[in-house]
Amino acid sequence: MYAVIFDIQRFSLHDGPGIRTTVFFKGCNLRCLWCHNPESQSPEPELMFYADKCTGCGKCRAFCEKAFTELCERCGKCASVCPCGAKEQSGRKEEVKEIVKTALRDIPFYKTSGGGVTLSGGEPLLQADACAEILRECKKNGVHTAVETAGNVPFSAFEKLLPHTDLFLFDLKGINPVLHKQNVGVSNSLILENAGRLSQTAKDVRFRMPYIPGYNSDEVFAVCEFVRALDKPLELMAYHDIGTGKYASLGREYSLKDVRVPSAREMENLARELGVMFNPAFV
Amino acid sequence: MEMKHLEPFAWGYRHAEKKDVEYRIANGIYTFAEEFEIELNVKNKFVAPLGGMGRYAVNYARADGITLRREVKERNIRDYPELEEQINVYFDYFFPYETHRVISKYRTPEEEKLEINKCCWAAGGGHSNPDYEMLLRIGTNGIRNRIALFRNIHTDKGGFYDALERTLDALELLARRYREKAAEMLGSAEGEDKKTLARLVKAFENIPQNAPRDFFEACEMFWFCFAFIDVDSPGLFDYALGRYYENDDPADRWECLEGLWELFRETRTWNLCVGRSDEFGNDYTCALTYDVLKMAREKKYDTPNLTLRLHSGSPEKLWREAAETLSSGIGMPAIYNDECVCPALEAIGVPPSDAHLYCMNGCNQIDIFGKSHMGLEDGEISVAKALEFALSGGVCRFSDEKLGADTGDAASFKTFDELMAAYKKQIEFMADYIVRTSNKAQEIFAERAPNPWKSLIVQGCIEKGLDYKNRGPIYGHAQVLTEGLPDAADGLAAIKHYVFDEKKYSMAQLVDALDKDFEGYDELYRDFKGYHKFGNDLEDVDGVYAEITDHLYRYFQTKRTFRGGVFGVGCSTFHRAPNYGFHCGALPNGKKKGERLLADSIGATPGCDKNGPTALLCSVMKGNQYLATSGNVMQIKFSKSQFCTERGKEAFIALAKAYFTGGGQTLQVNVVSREELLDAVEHPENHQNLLVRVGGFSQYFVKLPQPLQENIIARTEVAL
Repeated sequence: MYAVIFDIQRFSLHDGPGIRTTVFFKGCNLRCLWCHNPESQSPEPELMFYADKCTGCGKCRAFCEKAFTELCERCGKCASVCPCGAKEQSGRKEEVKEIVKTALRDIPFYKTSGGGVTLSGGEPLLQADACAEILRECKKNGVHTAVETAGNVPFSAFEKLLPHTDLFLFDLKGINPVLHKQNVGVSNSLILENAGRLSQTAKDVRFRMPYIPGYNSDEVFAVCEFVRALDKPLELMAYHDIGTGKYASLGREYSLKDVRVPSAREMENLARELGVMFNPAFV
Repeated sequence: MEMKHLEPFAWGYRHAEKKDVEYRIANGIYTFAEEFEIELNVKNKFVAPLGGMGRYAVNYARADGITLRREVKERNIRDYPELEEQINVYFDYFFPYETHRVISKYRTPEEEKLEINKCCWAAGGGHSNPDYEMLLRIGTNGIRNRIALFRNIHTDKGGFYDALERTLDALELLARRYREKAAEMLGSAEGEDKKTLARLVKAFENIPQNAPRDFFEACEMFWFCFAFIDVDSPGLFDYALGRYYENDDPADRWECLEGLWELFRETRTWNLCVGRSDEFGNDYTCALTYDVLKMAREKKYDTPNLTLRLHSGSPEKLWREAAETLSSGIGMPAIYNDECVCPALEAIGVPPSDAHLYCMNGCNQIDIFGKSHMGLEDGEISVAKALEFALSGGVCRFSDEKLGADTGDAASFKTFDELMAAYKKQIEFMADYIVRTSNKAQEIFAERAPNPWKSLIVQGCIEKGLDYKNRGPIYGHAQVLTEGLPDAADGLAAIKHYVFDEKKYSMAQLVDALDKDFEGYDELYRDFKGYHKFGNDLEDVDGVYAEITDHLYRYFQTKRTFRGGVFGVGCSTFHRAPNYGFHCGALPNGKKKGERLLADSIGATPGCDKNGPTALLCSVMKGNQYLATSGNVMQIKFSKSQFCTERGKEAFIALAKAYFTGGGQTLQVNVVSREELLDAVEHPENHQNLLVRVGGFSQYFVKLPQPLQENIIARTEVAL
C-alpha cells in the first residue's frame, strides 16, 4: 500500500505530547486562505521553484523540454537534476511499510518523553486506509498515536482510524457556515457533525482553532461555545505569515497579504479570557 | 637580594645536591614555602599561595615538571644587575632538566613531520585529580601516619618517603606563615575583614593537620592545598566537600561557595564534577550538587568547566536543575552517563567501586578521582588523515611528502575490503608512533619530573613507595584523542557506494580527482559531496562509522602504557578540528583542499545532519561508546528560544535520557545565542543543523524565509 506524503518530520514538539514524528500527508479538500503549507493541498507531487537559488545552468531544460515553458505541468521530476537546489519536488509516493519504518525509529525517544507518532497534512483522512495501516503498526509497537484533521470527510473514514488512534487533534475554523465557505471554500456542516460524533466515540479529542484576525476572529466565541458543549479542550493557534514564500515557489498568489500577526501576549490574554489554551504553534 | 629569595625552588633544589631528584624537588618546594612573599587578600575570603611557583624563572609546573621562563630571568637581571652571573648560572643549570626538550630529542625527522602536518602527535602534558576527599578526611597528620606505616614495609624507599615528608613540612610551614600573617593583620582590621581574618586564624589552628570542622574550614583547606603548587581540576567536588556543606548555615555556606567560585574563575580552574552513583546504583546527590549548578548559572563564568554525572537513578529534580543551568546559555554542565562510563572503565580492568569514582580530567577526559595518573593528551590522531594516506599510498597531500605507511597504489584496489585494510593499516601506523613516543615520554617524566606533592595525595604512591609519575598511582591508563572520525566514515561510505557497489566511478578516477582537488570532476564532486552523511540515521554510513570506531578504539586498547595501564581513546576536539581539516587535502566526503570543515565531536560534520537531533543521536548510538574510556564528546545545539521553554527543557531531558539508555556517554549542549544566528544568516552552509523553535515545530534556521530569520533573531535578542 502507498501513501502520498510531503514530509516526515522527526523531533516534532507541538503536534501532541512529547517528542513526536509527524507524517505530513499530501492532499486536502479545504482551501483555507491562510494555509501555510500550500504544497499540502494538491494530492499529486508537484514542483517548487526557488528563483533566488537558480543559476540558470539549463540542466532541467536538457532533462525536460517543457521546463520553464507554458507547457510545464509542475510535476517536479526535473528537480532530480537541479544542482543548486532551486527546484524541489514536493510530495512523494511512499510505501506504507517504509513510512512505518521511519516512524518507529525514534521509539527510544517516545519512551522517555511520552511522545509518539502524529499523522498530519494536508488531510490525512483522505488516505484513511494508509493512515489506519500506519497507526495499527504503531500501536502494535506500543507507540502513542495522534491524528490531526480538519474533519471534512465522511465519518466512515474516522471509523477506520478509531481503533488505533489515541488522540485526535481536530481543527475548527468557524461556526458560521457562510463565513466558513468564504474562508476555506467548503461548508462546515459535515465538519461540525463529525466533531460531535468523534467526541462521543474517540478515546481523546482536542480541538484547535486557527485565529486569523479579520477572517475568523469574530468566530472565536462561537467556537468556544461549541467545544464547551462537547466538553472537550480547545486551544487557539495564532496566524503567521510563515508560508508566504512557498506560494511564490509554487507559482501561486498569496491572497492574505495584509493580515496582522497577533503577538503571543495578545493570544495568551485572549485565551485566558476565554478559559481555553494557547498553542504557540503557527497555523 | 639573595638568590634564595629570588629563586627559592631552584635554590632548594641545588642545595640538596647529594639527594635524589625526588628529594631535591621536595626541598625546592620547602624553600619556596619558606621564602614565598605572602600577600593576604582578605576580599578573596580564602587564601593560598596563588600563582606561587609561576612567578620564578625556574618553576615547577603541574604537568611538565621543571620549566624555565626566559622572560622572568631577563626581568630579574634588569632588576638585580649585581646578581646577573648567579642568575645565569642557575638558569643554565636547569637547562638540561626541561622535560619537553628532552622528549623532542627522541623524535626522528619523519616523526616531526607527522606532528607538524597534523597527522598525529604524542606526549602532551598532564592533568590530575588528586584525592581531596581523603586529604580533607584525614588531614596531613593522617597522611604522615600512612607514610610511617609504609616506610616500615618498603625499607629500601627511605629517600622517597623523606621527600614526601619534606613536602608535607613545606605545606604545614606555609599554612603556619599564613596564620601568623592573618593574626598580624587582625589587629588593625575592621568590619567584615576582621571577621574573615579571625575565621582564618581559627581555621589554620586546625588545618591542614586535621580534618576541617565546618564548611568554611573545608573550603580553606581545599583551596590552600588545591592552589599550593598549581591549580588543576577539583574533580568530584561534592564528594570531597559535600558532607561539610550539608549541615552548615545555608547563607554562610552559599557565601563560602561563592568565594571559591570567584577564585576558580580568577585562576581558570579546570574541571569540576558533581553528582555520582555507586556500584550498587545508589545516588549521592546532595545540597552542594544543586548549589553548584545554581552558582554556575548565576555567575555565568566560563570556568570551571562544569561536569554533571547522571544515571538512571538520578532524581528528576537534578535533571531539571541541569536543564535550567544549560538554558542560561553557558554550555554547561556537560552531562555524563554513569551507566556508560563505568562499564567502559570496568572493561579495562578498573573495579566497579573505583570506576564509580570517575570524574573529568582537564577538559573532557575520563579520570578516576584520587587514584590515577591518566595523563591527558598522551596523543591525538587524525582519522581523516589516515583515509587520505590510504588513498595516496601514504603521501600527505598538505606537504606532498610521504609520511604514512606504504599501502600501495589505491587506484589498483579491487574491493572495498582492500581499501578498508589500507585505511586500517594507516591508522595502526600512526597509533604505533603515538604509543612508542608517549611511552618514551612517560619514562622521561618519571625520571626527570617526579612529583612528591601529587604522590602524597594520589592513592597508590605511598602504598607502593613509587612516585606519581613513576607508576605510583593505582591506575595509569593513557588518553588518545581522535579527529575527523565522522568525516572518514562519510568518505568511506561514499567510495563503497559509487566505486564498488554502483561502479559509477573507478578507483583510478577517484584518486585522480582527489589529486586534482576535484578540478575537472564536477559530477564526481557533486556525487561524493551529496552522498549520505553520518548523523542522519542512515544504515550504510552509520555502519562504516561503527566499524572504524570499533577498530580504532580496540587497537589502542591492546597497547600498554609505561604507567601501567592501556591506551584509551576518545574524542574532545577543543576547537582544534578546523586546523586538522585545513591540513587534509581533498577528501572523498567532498571536502576540498584548504577547507577547514571537520566534525567537531563524535557527531556529524557541521551542516551534515539534516534529520533532527533524534536521528543524529540514533546515528551516534550505533558506535560502541563502551570502548571510549577517554571521553566521547557529543555536541548538540539548540536555539535559545527553543530550549528556554518548559516544553523545550522537557524535550531535552527526554532526549538525553533516551541517548543515555541507548549507550550514549556524554552530551554537551549549546544553547545558541544571537551572534550565532547572525552568523547563520551570513554563512548558512555552516549552520545547517541549527534548530530553532518556529512555533509549531522545530525548524532548521537556515531553511526559513529571510524575514522570519530576522524575526527570530529579534526574538532571541529579547530572550537574552
